[in-house]
Amino acid sequence: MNDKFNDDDFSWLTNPDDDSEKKDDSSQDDDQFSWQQSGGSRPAEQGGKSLGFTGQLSWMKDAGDESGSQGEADDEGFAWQNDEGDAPATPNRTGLTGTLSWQRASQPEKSSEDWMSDLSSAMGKMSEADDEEPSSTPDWLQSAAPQAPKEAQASGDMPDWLQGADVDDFGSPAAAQQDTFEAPDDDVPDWLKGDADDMFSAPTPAAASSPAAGDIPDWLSGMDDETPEPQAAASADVPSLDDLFGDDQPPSWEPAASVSAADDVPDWLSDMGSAIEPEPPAAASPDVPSLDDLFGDESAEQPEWEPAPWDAQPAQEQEDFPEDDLFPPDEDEDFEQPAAAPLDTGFLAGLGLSKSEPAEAVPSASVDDFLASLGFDDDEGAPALSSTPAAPAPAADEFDWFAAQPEEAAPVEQAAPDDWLAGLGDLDTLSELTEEAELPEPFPAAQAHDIFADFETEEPSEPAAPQYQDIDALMSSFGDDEMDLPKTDELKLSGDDIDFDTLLNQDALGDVGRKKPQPMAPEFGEGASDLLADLGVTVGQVSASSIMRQQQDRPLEELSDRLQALRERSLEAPASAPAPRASTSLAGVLPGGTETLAPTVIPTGTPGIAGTVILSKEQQDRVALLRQLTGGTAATHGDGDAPYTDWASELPAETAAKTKAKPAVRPRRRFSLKVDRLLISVLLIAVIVLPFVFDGARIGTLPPVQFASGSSQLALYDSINSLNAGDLVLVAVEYGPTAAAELDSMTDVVLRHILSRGAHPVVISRNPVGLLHAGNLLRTFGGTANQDYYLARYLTADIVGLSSLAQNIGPTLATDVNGNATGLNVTSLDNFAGIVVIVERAEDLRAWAEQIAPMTSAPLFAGTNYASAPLSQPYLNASASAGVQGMLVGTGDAYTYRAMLEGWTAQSVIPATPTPETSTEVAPTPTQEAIIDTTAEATTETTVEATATRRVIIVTPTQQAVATNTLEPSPTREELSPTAVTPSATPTPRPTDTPTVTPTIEPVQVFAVVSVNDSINIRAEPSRDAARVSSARPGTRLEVIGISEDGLWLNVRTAEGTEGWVLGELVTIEASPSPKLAAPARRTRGSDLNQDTPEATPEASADGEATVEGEAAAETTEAANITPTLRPTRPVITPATATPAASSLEVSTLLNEDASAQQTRDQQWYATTLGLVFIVVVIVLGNLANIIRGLLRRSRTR
Amino acid sequence: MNAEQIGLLAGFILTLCVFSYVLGDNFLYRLAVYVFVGLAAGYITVITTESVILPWLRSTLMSGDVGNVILGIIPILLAFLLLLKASARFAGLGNLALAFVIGVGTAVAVVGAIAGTLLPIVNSTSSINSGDLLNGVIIFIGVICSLIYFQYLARRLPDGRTQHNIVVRSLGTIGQGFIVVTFGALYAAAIISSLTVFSERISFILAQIIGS
Repeated sequence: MNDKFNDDDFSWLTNPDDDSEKKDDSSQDDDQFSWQQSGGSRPAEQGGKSLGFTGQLSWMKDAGDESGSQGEADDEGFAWQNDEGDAPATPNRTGLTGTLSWQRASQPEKSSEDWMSDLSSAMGKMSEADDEEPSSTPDWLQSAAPQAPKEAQASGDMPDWLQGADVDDFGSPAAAQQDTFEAPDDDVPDWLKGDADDMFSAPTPAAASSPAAGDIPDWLSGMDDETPEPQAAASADVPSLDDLFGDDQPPSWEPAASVSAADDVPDWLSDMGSAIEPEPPAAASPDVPSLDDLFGDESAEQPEWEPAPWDAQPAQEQEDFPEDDLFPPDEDEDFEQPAAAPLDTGFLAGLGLSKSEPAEAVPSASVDDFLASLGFDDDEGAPALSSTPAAPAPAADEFDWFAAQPEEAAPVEQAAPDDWLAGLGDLDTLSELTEEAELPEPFPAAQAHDIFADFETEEPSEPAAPQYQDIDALMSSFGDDEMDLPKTDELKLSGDDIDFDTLLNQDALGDVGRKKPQPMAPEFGEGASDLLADLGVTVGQVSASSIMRQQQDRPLEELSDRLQALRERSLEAPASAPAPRASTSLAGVLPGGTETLAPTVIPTGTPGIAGTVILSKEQQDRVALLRQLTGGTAATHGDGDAPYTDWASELPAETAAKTKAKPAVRPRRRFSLKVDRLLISVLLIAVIVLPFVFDGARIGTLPPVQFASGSSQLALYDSINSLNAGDLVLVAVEYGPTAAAELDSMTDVVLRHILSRGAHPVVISRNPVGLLHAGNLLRTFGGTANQDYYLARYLTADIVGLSSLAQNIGPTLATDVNGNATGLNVTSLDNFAGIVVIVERAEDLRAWAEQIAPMTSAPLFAGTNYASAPLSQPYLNASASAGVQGMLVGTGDAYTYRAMLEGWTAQSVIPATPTPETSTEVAPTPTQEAIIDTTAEATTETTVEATATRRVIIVTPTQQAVATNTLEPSPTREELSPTAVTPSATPTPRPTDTPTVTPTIEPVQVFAVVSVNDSINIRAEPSRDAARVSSARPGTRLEVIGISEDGLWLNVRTAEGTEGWVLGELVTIEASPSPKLAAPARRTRGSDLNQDTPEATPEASADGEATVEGEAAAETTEAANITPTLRPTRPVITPATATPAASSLEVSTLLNEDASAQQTRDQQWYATTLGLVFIVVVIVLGNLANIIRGLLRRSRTR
Repeated sequence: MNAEQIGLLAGFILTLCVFSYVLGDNFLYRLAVYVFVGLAAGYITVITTESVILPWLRSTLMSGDVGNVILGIIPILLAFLLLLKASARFAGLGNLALAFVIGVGTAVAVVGAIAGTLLPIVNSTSSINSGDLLNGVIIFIGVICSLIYFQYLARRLPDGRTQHNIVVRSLGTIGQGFIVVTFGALYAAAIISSLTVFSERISFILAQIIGS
């Protein structure tokens, strides 16, 4: 160890020519720095890991900081470097060693600039972030800018390794520094001379206004007294010279070749001057009193200087302090200190920082060379350090400044923690000054690595507590034992994102804090205060956060006002989520979940200024109810700080462990039968089934058999009914299987109607399944694809496809759904006689209404289910050309439509009540004449009703007159389409009428056969409310003797002769002996319609319907003359490959329906009606139950 | 058993499977749904191929006409770009086709909405004096009041609450009534539709069981 120190790079500081004096010097140094053992130890402890000499600096800093009278010197510490020159020299001398060491640490190597800059920037960041917490600044960083003029921070806070980095950097240029003492003045840089001049030119210009150089200031003189005056108190802060240098010690660091050092100047001070200025002014030193005179022995009262908190150092920490490791017991014995070196570097050597031999370490012999080796130029070096000029203040000022210290030192030291934090706050200034200071060169990482390598020592073997008597002994104890320092290349010392936390938390430094001993020797720690210890923190945890955390454990009253204020602020901050208590907590299960998924706090109560959610009393009650239901407490918080329910933390640990251990297994779905749902479903099924099996359950009435006049349904019907043969009708089947049960019947009747008119439906769809349904229906009709009907291809691209269809319909209809050519020659939508859209959703109708309707003059009709009807109604606008002009809704309209269609076909001849009136005004058409001639001698009234009502023709053979009645007054042609009537049309007897009517109309007896499976009631009056007079079994034949006015009831006579009324829909009509009347009549009707058109007007559709009323032959004539023209201008497009005449469909096939199918539809209608009633009852009962339950709950809560 | 009978039987079984949902989600219900979805998908694929793609190819690329061929290449190119959306690297190229599709679709929808929905409704609303006066008045009041109900401009009271003008509130209440009636009608219509389908299925089942 000693060899290391002796052979250290810093040995150049010693006198290489006088090795014999090293031992003496060593002892001298021991005495010189003995004061540090008592007084200067505090800063060392403060830093925790600082070297002794730096602790002296910190001591000075502390003293200076807290001395209000010191002005800037307080903050700047070593004010001798200041430009203002108001900083006295004495403090400089007092802290000389540290100052020099710093200068030497930084001056020789300009390479520390970048490193320093980085640190400065980092400190700048810290200063910005932690203005309130200066303590967060690491101690070592405070000493990381030694070139800064305001080095007020205690270097004792600097980590050992970093201090070593500062000092160890002397290595190579040490000899150069040494040679500068002999260098001519011209070789000295200006800045350096400025320092020296300022420092040692007190008698010269500055000294003129200051006390005489040889005079001892009052405060200094007072220091010799035993009286505890303020000056004495200040001296108490300052270690005694005896302790510092030893009473009997000559000024060991008085340079042998020192230039004009005054006699009174303390050795160390003169040494400092020589270290800086080879030729200091002669008058400077004599004015400086000796340290003995300056401090005397009053340093023995050092304990008074130390505040009480320093004594509160935990014993444990002192015990844990590896003092033996840090201070080997026999270090100072082997220490070799040069006795009469020009620059007393013995103390530096004692720091263990001198390693190299001067001859080897000094490549150059001049200051310029030395500076040049450091990267300094004469011209550049001065401005580089211009920010740290030597203060030109006279010695007297120095003394005054120093004298002011004791006055303020004592109270300041009592507030040591705050002062310490305040001292840390100076880093802000330091960082700024460091940035301003144009430091020479970046600090090379390689050299730093060497520096750190010097501290790589071994573990001490003897743990015995050493007794250090001086700083040299202390410093020499710094061996390589515990200095397991990282290498700089392992450290990240620069970068944009560097800050103290990242810097200190680097892995390379990870072990440093643990292995690094607490640099608190018993001499320092015992009876002394440690700021960090007083704060209850450890060195390795010096950060704002750690300090604050540990501050929580301290009594509140022990905290300073500043910390208390900080603590209050921290308490005001929003409390974070509670830490997970165990692995079962939410944080354990879901890391970060508690922070990110924290429930929202809903503050309630008095309205705040801003951002407060106000809940009314009712809302709060609901929230409370919600809490009850959910069992949670996190819904709202009246005051915003109620704890949240950590449900995860409530889980048992075993459960949580199993949950975490087991892989994610899909939970097995548990089958749970909902009884209420099942019960309702079963009941609904039963209700639905009931009308199918029990006639008595058929409640309600069937849909009407005809549409109301002027209705949209009738408009659709009439439009289709007015189609000509060969017309094309575009039918869009826009529904899928889910709506097929409801819309298939509608599609069926529409297609039948179109086909029955000889027109050709062109089915298209954007729903392929709908297209499939339509295809199946069309195939049941027996027609031929692409001849009788066209099944166009599937329409893609939604509304774009529709728009494309409107723009260019030809290619779309060129092929059918199977890819076969359709042969259609359609170029526009106007080629269609009409467009019928049957949709499942209102959106589909909207698409057609938006994309197709505005693009064509063809009328658009729609058919919807019940669900989409409300939203489809707005598009129904018969008066507008672009809207939907007719609409069918649901199975009800489909039923009516079918009824109208079947009524059109299933004409019944019912004997009516004999009418005495005989019409002689029947138009003398050949047909009617023939009828009259052949059927009866008397006048026969034949009703040929072509309206959309169920027509009943009653022919009674025994009666001469045929009574005619209709179920409902059918609208006349004028009512249906008044504008389309062509009065000029001349009714032309159709040849086809004659052969069909004439031979069949014969007197027959009409019977009503019960067609239902159950017995029917025969009532006294044509009403359900009438009394039942009899009943008839299924299949019973009842003689029809009349019909009600509304046409719904038949007056019948049973075989027993009982007369009564039966509902017409429950029976079927049989006529005897000419039951074939109906079929020719259908054919006649169809022939009439088809053949009326060309005879009336060429454009008119075959929609002429004749109503031959028995009472008004003229009416018959008028009706026959009506030739409605719905779209007279629309051209009839004939498909290229198919003509209406070529249709293979039999009209009778299209218009005849199985009776069982009709019966099934009736049953379905009844079932739907009953089911609807049931659902309404269920809904009502359910709501009533909920209301009652709510009332009961409310009554309970009250 | 002919094909029709097999179809009826399959329909019967599948209907029962669907109705089994009354007991909850179960295998039978899922089986029926999967069968239907699979059949529908297959059918749509076939239909699309036969009736859309192949005819289009025949009319464009295979038509022999240069213009039609070029006209057919463009959609194919866009379709290829759209397929590149599956690649993370070339997904950006698919934006061109996507932009084309979305842009055209939006333009078509906007134009159609104006011409087919907005103008007709405005016309219906404004035609009070034409046709049925009562109906026109009801429509007018309903539209205006419903629009007023959905306006949220209000005056803030000193206590922080917002409050509409009394007139606005009154008209909004009327509009709310219209909206309630509308939703009620929708709900009732949905129920009727469901019942219709249900009764039809019940009828079908009964027909299969006891005969027609």
